[in-house]
Amino acid sequence: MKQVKGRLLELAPVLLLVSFATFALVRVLPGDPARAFLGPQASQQEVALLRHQIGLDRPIISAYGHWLARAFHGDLGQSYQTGQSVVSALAQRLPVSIELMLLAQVLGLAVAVPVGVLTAYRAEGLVDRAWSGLSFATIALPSFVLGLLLIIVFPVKLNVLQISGFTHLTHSVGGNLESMTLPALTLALPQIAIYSRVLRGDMIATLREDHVTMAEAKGLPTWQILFRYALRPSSFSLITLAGLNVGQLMSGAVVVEFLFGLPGVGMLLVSSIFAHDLVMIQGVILFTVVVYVAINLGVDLLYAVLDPRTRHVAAA
Amino acid sequence: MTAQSAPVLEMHELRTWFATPEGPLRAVDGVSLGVEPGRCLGVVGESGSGKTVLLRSIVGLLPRRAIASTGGTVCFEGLELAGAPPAVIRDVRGRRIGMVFQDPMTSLNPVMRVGTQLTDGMRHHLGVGRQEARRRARALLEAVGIPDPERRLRDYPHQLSGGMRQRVTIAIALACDPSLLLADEPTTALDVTVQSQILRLLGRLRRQRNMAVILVTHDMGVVAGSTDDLAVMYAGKVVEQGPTATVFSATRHPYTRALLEAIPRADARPGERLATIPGQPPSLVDPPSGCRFAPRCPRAADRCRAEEPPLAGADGHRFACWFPLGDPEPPAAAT
Ligand SMILES: Nc1ncnc2c1ncn2[C@@H]1O[C@H](COP(=O)(O)OP(=O)(O)OP(=O)(O)O)[C@@H](O)[C@H]1O
Ligand SMILES: [Mg+2]
Repeated sequence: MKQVKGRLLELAPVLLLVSFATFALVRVLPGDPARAFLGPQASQQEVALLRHQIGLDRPIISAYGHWLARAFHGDLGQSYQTGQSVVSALAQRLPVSIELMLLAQVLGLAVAVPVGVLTAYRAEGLVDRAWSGLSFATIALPSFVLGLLLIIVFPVKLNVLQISGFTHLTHSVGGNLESMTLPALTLALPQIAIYSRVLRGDMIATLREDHVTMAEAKGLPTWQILFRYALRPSSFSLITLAGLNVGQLMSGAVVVEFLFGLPGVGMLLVSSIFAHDLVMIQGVILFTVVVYVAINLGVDLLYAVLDPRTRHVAAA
Repeated sequence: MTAQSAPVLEMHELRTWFATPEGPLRAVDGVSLGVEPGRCLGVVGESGSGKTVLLRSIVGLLPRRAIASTGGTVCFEGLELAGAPPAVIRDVRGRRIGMVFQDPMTSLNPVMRVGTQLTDGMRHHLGVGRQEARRRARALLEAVGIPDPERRLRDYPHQLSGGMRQRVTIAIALACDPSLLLADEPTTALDVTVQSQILRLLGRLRRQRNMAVILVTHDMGVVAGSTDDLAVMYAGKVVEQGPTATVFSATRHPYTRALLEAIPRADARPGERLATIPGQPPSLVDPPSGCRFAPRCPRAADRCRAEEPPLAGADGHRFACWFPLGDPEPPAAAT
């Protein structure tokens, strides 16, 4: 608990800095955002009014303070495109993005863990070599190319997993999964490749350790030695990576949501950028950054659960 | 030596060669040894003489890919282990043959509780339930002299001292009540007072359980105090073997004598390895023809360099030397 508090105190300045940068970034963009939003036809008066509404006529520090204070109360302002509050727009889009990233992460780990363990156990074997080549290929491809490839293979050639738009989870679970499979796979494939390689490396090192020989000397079956004795001490890099990769997933999700037309947070961001919707952009970025930082905190804390040694040191 | 019950383990001409880029490395090269119930066989020799490989060959605990060829027989309680299918050996490991390793700081899994590591073997081999395994685990920890076993079962290895950890690994090795214990330098990594405690513990457990023990060590002092029989290894071969007392009092092989002379004195640093014998152990890839010790032997003669001496002798005391100590010096040594 003390650890959590300490980490939070460390993170406060980081969050402050990042939120300010987000806020300032939109302001220092060339041109007048109010003019950009309203378009060349709008009158000078209309522009001035909008500038006042979003605080563009005030000094940046005061405007930032105002914005931050409201953000603390859960008010990120309103889109001046649709009038919808940023928070409600996020609430609407968030479940889609979370589902996408969760599916990608679960899929990634579910495939990478057994593959990583197996390729480590039979390192330099046939499967290991084949996998190594294959994973290199998936890592090398940008996610939009990978996504397009999947679209060509599945809906176009094999005539399965049609991209007929997004089906909401509450509407039909099967339909939802069908519309999510390819996007999740696009996000997951490079993760699978990286995760399994990282796990393989650590696992090979662990399998050389004395305690594994000791477990073998106990006559335990191979699966127990691999998955109960060797996997956990080999999983620290994997977990760090899976945590850090949330950032990667988030940016990947923007591309994938756009590519597959999924109404997630990424899509929201892209469309508000196209619409010059300043308030929405700021709100979405702030939210994303906070989530990102929170997840990294969570990963740190997960270490303590996994490794009793760090838990002990922290408690002492 | 009095008549004994049948050996628990008997190896004959056991051979383990590793594949190296230079060619096969003869780590264990034709070793024949046996050990009876309730007795302790010491195996000594310099670093690299093949002691660890010998122990691991018995239970097939060597990286399969590294092995170039194996040979010989390992008869354990009527069961042939050499070349047996992995499933057969795995069933013997942990259940009928326990193992203790050198470094207790690394031989326990750092992220698993002592209790889990201790009960896993029993639950797998003996099929006992969680509660019963727990109960046995407590009794085992008590038997190896760990106070407050209930608490220790919930501890992680890093919460225990080195001596304590080695007691835990011994408890793990004994969990299924094996008839043979293979201990690979179980005290080398411990400080000197703990060393003698662990050796006494091993001796007591061996007598209580009438268990056979093979104790690998560098330390002739350990051999003198804790073993009944002794095998001296040099470059993958046994060069002298017999009852420990006989080998000590009537040493025949010059290498054994060199080892005995190299026993650390009382003022030596604890845990110190054997003082050096002049010269280097030979290459195991391309061993010298004749006696492998000849290049370092003060008594070596032409015959030693040409012909390999057989391991022979009487009354269970055997040695591989053309001109053993106690016999007249060979003619060549005089020149
Ligand atoms: N996996 C392996 N691959 C190749 N060579 C090996 C392997 N394991 C051991 N050896 C070689 O086998 C020989 C015997 O090694 P071993 O570990 O049995 O010696 P030891 O007597 O136990 O020495 P120490 O006292 O240092 O523990 C050494 O030359 C070693 O380099
Ligand atoms: Mg060794």
